[in-house]
Amino acid sequence: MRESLLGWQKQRYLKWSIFAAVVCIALYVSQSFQPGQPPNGGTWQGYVLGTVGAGLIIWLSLLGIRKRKYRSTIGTVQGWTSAHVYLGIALLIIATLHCAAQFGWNVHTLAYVLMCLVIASGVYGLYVYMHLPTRIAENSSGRNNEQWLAELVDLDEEIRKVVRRTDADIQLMVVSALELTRLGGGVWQQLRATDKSMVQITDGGRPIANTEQSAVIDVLTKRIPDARKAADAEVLNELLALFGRRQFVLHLLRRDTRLRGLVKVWLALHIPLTVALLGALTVHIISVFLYW
Amino acid sequence: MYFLIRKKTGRESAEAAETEFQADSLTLGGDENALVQIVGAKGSVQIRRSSGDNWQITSKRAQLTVNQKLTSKAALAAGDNFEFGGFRFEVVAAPVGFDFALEQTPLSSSPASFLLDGMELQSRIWNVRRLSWILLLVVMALFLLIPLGGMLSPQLASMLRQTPLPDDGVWSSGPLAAAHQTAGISEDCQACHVEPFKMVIDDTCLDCHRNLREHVDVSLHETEVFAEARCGSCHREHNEPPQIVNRDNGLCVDCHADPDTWITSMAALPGSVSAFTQAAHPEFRVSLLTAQGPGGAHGWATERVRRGEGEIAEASNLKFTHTVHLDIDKVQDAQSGDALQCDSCHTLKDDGEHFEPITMDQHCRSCHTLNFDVFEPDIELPHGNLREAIVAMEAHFIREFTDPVLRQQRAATKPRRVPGKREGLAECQGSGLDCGRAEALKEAEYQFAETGCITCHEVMDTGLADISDRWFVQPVKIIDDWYPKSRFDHVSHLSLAGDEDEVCETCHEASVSEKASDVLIPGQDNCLTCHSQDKGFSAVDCVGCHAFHQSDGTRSILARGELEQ
Repeated sequence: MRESLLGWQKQRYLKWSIFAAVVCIALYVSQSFQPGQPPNGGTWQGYVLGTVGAGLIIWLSLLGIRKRKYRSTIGTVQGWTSAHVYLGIALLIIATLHCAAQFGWNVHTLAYVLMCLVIASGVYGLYVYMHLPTRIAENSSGRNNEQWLAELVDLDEEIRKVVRRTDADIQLMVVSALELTRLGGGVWQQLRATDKSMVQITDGGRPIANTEQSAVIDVLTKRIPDARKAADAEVLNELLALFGRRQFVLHLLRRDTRLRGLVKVWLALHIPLTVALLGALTVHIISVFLYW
Repeated sequence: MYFLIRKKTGRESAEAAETEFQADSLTLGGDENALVQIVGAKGSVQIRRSSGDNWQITSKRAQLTVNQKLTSKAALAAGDNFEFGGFRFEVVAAPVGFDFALEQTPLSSSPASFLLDGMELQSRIWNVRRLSWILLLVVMALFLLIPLGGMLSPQLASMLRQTPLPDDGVWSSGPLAAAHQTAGISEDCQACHVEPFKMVIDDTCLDCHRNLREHVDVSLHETEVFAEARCGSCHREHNEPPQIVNRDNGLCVDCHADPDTWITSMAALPGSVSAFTQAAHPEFRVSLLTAQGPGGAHGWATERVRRGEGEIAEASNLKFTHTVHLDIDKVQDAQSGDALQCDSCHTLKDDGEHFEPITMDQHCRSCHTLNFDVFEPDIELPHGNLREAIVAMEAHFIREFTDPVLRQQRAATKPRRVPGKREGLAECQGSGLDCGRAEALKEAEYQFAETGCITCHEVMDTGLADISDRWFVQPVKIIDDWYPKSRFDHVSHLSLAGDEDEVCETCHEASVSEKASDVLIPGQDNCLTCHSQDKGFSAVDCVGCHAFHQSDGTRSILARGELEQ
């Protein structure tokens, strides 16, 4: 993935982008030879840089359309994406030169900020595409999600069977730990892999947090030395082993959810921000000439 | 009150785990305060006794189904059931010692006992398309439609300014120059931007800048040369940092490098200039005054003489030497006894360039008193009016010799001999009128021909007999602006190292000036030592010394109208 996207055609678009950036920097610098006006978007160089920037923004946005047009022959999607990445980063330079780093509380700066957010989310997306697939594969150790969930279901059934051999207190706690286990959740819970699982330790008491099954494991560990009979201790040991595995599987599933979420979440910002940027860019261009 | 919740511990088991709760009411739900935790449940439900064996269930922001009917409040009795948070609860007969009992079974037949609450981001995240539309609409509404409404309706605009909602100010591309940050302009874009999609027109500038003048007299120059330039082509607003004056030398030298190509009816063309260097800038032209008619009777003509082309001498009709006045052995300050300083006489005007005029009363009279009668040293002649001075002398001496008491006093008094003063006549044998007139004539001859008026003034002796017509004092006229086509800031130059007089002498060699006709105003060389553009330090551009809008240019309000036609 890395080689094919960034190194596409011997980094053809990296070279294009560097060339474009150098030309734009030269244009910007040429403004300082005109003492009439400080560098900004209103000099002829500023207009040229602005036109190039606006053209780039529109072209970069078209990737979303091009990648859906499977029958299109205008370049390959891979080539487009490679150019999208490099020219998108070059855009940051071009737009900054266009505005000469002059900012204020106005629609022009809004467009700039939106553009920076789009580029930042895109760079994050590039990072995620380059690194996370390997980590997802490493995490799930060759098994898919359904297989891990199936193991979890089996574990729970096994725990229910084993727990019948213990006293009522342990039974109540263990069953509540199973029932109050929570996987997934809202966007933040998925992305941060937070564990909201709970467990009810004592009869009638309020349930307490059972993050990473630690509360139930803790109680089981403490109960082993108190076991009167060897059989009781054996059952507790068995439960402890099962919860240990359960802890591992739950952690793995949460991590998997988190990594898969990260691969997707940036695009959910990148695209709406791009649309907002296109709106702000339109207002920027209209307003500049409306009040010329 | 005692509550019991019974749930199956295993799928195949007939055994049940029973949990007891003691509370006033039983709450089931997903939030932390719920007594019975139902993970993932939205909201909560509460069960409380209404009377005797009658129980009531109420829902708080929860989806509750009682006996297969969706409701928010219902009565409960043994045998009823309700569904909430993914479980089915059946009201069972309360065992001994309990007030109320429920049996809990999961609704789904999922083998998993844990809560699988969405592991796909897609299902939880905002729809990308919907978010895109919302953001787009927010941007368009806040930054285009609302400000546009304000632009089209002044009432709406003033209303918007009272609220945190954006007005057309969000379209501003940068700060205004300080002078334009004023009421009526800074908050009202349309004070300048009159017509949409059209550059700011000159009329809007001239609405306020009524007295502004053009660069030239348009009757002498080809107007087309100036017609293309709007006010805004040089004076650009919304720059950051604010810069309203275009300091580009090109604006000047594009025309002034080659005056020979001008189509103009000017009598004399200015020198060619392409930069401020020895080679590229002509020597300065000093303004000199010449009297028109005897004693300037027909006014004074200003002639601008280029340095190095002919003699530069001032003809002010004043006799004065700077050398003497700056020599402590000869002249001292009347109060302190110190040597005179430049600023003893020369006071800078508020413009920082020109000086207040020097007057007899303020600067000269403390030493150069105009007393004329040694017997009455306190009486002085009026200054600035020849006729008044002669009448004053005649009146004084006639009165002295006519009044017998005064005449006697004068004869009896022996005044001290005063150097530079005439020894006045003490006694006279004739009538008061004759003696007074004779003494007045003598004094006038002394004042106008020997020492007195003639010390500082050029006096012409006409040779006529009448005392009133005998002498004519040439009026003193000193130019107030030596270089009217340029600007100079004395204040910034006075901040140079050295005491003030030394700094003045760096440019004005007053202490060696022997003659009043010496022009002590420095020429180009003096400025070029620091400000030459080819030396690079403290270089000045054209606008540093020259204003574009000239005082002898046509008034812009007339010229611009003419140009636009």
